[in-house]
Amino acid sequence: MTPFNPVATSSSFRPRRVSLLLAAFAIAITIFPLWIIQPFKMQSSRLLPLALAAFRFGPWITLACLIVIACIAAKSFRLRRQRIIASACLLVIAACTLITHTNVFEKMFHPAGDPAFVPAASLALADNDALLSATLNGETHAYPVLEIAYHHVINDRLGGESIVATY
Amino acid sequence: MWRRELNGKTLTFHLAGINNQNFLMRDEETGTYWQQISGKAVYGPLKGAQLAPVRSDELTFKLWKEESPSGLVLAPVKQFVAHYEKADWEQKVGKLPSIVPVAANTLPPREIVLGIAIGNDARAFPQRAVLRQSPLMDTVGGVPIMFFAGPDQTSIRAFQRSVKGSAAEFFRDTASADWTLLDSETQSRWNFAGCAISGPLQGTCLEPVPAIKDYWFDWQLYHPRTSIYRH
Repeated sequence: MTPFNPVATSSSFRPRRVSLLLAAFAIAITIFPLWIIQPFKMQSSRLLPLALAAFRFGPWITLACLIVIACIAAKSFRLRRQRIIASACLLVIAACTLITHTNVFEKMFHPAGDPAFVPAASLALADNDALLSATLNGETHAYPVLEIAYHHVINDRLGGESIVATY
Repeated sequence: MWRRELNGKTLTFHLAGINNQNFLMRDEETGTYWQQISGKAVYGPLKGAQLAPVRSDELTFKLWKEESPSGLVLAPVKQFVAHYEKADWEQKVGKLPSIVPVAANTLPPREIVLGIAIGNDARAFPQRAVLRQSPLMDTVGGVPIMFFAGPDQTSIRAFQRSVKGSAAEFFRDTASADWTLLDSETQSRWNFAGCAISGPLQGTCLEPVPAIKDYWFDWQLYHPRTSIYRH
């Protein structure tokens, strides 16, 4: 009997290494798009699609990592050192999963939700306040610039059609 | 401003990113990412698709009320009112750094321009020039156009200045108490909505020209061959 079999070792499942790799991967897929899509940075046409792909698939990928790490943590419950590493990685991956499931841009600029529209007389706007205005099929909606400059996106219905007002 | 119906599907947009200082939105129905300024899908299942524009104006409240007495205004959302931009917002944003490269001898990156693109031709009109020269007349892509600032000297609209098939010149009618323009071809009087209110063409309206209000750095990024109106 050989006490050390390098072939068996390299192909056998090593929970600590897998835990650390999973955590590193989850961090990478979480940070990468946020790092690319910084407001005061140019976005290259090569990296932008990759960052958006990370935004799009990140929630699923981190969730998969979370499930795998949870299984590893449960399996390694009896081994103290492995348990500590697996639990630490579990926490990190859980945080990544939370972040990838959050639209950070809507945390900075909250969406208006279902917008309410009211007659001009009921609002305390000044004569010189700027409004973005659109008319469709005889119906007119106006969006105060200082308000839409915050929300940026207003999903609306106007004159029986679906429109999006942006600023 | 865009129509959000595409191939029979209604899209719901969310603020979802930024690309060269212009924001990206994502629709929750397909997960596609769209560029706000161009309405073009840049990534995802609908990549390459183009949203249809909705014509919009930027007007002061007083003028808007007079023109649209039955119009409705987006009400403030109570819990976010404290976050809304303040009156000095435009000046504040105007001082932010810009990172998109802009050629020398053009305009400052954050100069506000009104951009017109017709056919393969694009031209940027500095807002300051429009306010100073109103009515400002020019030709873009072979189409005679004009900008004018309204009675509030702030709101701006753009129209084709073709009258009876030929390019007309327009002048402020300073003799009139109301804000009106006169055209050189028929001497009809026109209001800020671009409609003739008296004279031979009374009842007809000029064709609006879509003009995009944007920072120079952004306009020239999406229209690399744009010219600049200088006078």
